[in-house]
Amino acid sequence: MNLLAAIAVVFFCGFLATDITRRWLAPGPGGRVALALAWFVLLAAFFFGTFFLLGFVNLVTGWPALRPSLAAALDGLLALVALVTGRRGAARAGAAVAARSGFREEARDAWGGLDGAGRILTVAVAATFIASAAMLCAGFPRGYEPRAYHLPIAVHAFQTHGLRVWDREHMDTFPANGSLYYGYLMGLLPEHLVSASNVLFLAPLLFSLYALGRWTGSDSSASLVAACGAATIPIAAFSSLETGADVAGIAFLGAAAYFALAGDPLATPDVLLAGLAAGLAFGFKSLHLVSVAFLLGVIAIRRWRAASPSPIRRASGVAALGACLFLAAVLAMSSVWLLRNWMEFRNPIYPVHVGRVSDAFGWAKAPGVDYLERGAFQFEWVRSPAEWFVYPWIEWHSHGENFKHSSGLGAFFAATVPPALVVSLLGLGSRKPREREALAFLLAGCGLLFAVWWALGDRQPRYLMGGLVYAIPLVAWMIGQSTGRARRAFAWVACVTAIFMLGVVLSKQGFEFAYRFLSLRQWSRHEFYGYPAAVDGLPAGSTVVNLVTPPDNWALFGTKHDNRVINQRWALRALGAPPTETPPESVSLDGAALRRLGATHILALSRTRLQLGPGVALTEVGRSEGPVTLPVLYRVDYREAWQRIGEASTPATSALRTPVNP
Amino acid sequence: MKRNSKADARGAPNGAFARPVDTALRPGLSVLAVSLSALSAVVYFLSSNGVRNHLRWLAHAAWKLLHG
Repeated sequence: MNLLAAIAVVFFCGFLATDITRRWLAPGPGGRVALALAWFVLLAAFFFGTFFLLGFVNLVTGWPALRPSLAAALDGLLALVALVTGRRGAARAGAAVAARSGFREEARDAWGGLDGAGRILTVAVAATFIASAAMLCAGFPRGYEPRAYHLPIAVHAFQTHGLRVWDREHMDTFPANGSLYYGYLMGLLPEHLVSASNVLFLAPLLFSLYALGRWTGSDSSASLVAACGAATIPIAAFSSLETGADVAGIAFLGAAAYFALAGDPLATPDVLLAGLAAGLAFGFKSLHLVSVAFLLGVIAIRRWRAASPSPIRRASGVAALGACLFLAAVLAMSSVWLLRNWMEFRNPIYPVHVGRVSDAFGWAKAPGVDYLERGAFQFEWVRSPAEWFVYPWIEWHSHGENFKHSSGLGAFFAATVPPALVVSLLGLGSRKPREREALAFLLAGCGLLFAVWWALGDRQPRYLMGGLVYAIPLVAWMIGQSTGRARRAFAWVACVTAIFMLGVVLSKQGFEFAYRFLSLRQWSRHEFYGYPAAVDGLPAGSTVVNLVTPPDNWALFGTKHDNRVINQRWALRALGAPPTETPPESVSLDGAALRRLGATHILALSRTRLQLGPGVALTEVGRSEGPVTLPVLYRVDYREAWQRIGEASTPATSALRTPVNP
Repeated sequence: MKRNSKADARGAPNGAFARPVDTALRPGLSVLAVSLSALSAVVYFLSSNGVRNHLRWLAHAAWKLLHG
């Protein structure tokens, strides 16, 4: 990727976001909070919007349009238009300066309002994530999902300059905003820095949680404590330290919720910003479709109420117009993924299939995937479905991995969220209509998400992460209700529980750093991931078939990211073997199937029995260094019929007919 | 946490912002909230498998690092 083009993209997007924020989004009473979130949403909307447009061209015409150079040209053109027409907005520049100073004032007041415990917590959160990010930069991207598909899809998209699916495995067909983000960064930054790039999304997430807390009527210090505490929830904290899509998804969902719930319901910019952010959230995590529907309802209700003194017909029109504006903005940021899946699978929300509803539209079902029949997955976290109601206090895990990106809610959550839900229910009796409305919307958001999560059956804690956007502001409200001793007690409960969880995060990161780098000295990429160094030396464009485990997909792209990789699941399916999470025991290598995959190399464990079909020979070209079962890299040689006469006597192939390490 | 002054008085987004002094009209609710919160935290530390396993893991990890 052209480095200059990549830099130009972010520069032009930043310029456009700043320009629009200054010209069209005048700061109102809460402008200092809204403007920063608006800037973040606009920056992302321009960034992703440009790539969506190029991806759309690619999908429709087949032309390889997804290139940073074209994105830079498009954004540059828009920036030029903004510059030429810039004078019209000059009058508001002074207002933007006022907003910036207001922002500093807000930060000063929030900090000044904290007592010792609150300050310790804020500093500890910042220090923990800065230290963790620094440790991440020593290594390479981690996490099961990121290595299995987010990052491979990222490189695939920029290798093929298009948004067509990598392969037809169901997890590779989800919307892939995260992959676009990482793919772009891979062309801009060293892989070391990209491995810590997801931490950045914590900032807008905490900011939107803070802003929502303020909207409930809570004061700045209580909102700050609640937002900082949210960063210590293990599923959020550990997700931010992997190159996944969950944290970015809820960061955009938080921004969407802020503009939909706290924005002026009759202001078009607020409705559009909510829609843009919601569309982006869907692109990171399609599960946020539930929240998109919820926020659509919120906007319609709030606009209806805002226009309610008018005749019912006019109020309905105002509500419908708001809903349409919101939906248009959502589609602007998500339609490319819907179109892609429609073109490839005849189902815009593939692989999701909702029984008769999908059947009514004629939307295809993903073979072997039924999201309504995944009830057994929950038993990784609970022993019976009823245990979910005490999960925050029990945190059981079948493999003992209680705290990781997909497990654990932590001490801060247990100490604050369930009490906040109870107290907020009581708070619904408040005599202040605005407070009552805020609590009702937030409780409805929590309730809806939990109900859908429960009904879908695929109950994994992180699939409920979107609920934090509605639950944490309730915590801020609850803390903000108290004064005197009760308030000080709250501060210490929040501080002790959150700092304990930060200790968990820091100890895990610190141990991994010390063990991997100081003890095992895994400084190089092949040592870090445990693959043969020969993978890094393959000619550009080599196609490596992964026959080890799904997370090895990412490793096989090599240090320069110029290999092609055949996904482990897809490869096994293509070779007629059942997909498995663990390395297969035995695989038959059919020449025709390997040719169809375009395979030039194969990575398999030394113990995997590779049964050679006619017309295929393998030559070992490298193996990992280590004591036991090792990944071995083979070169694939295709032989025509006339070449196969002496095949049985070829040492390399005959050796492979039996297990190498029986 | 001390009560905020200027920023709180000026108000949250849309000017709808209540200072703690205004919302603390229900001291019963406030005491209930903090009691629930403290109780919930205590129950968590006593019953969480995550805490137990992490402390065990921490001891093991320290031993592993110290002894290679």
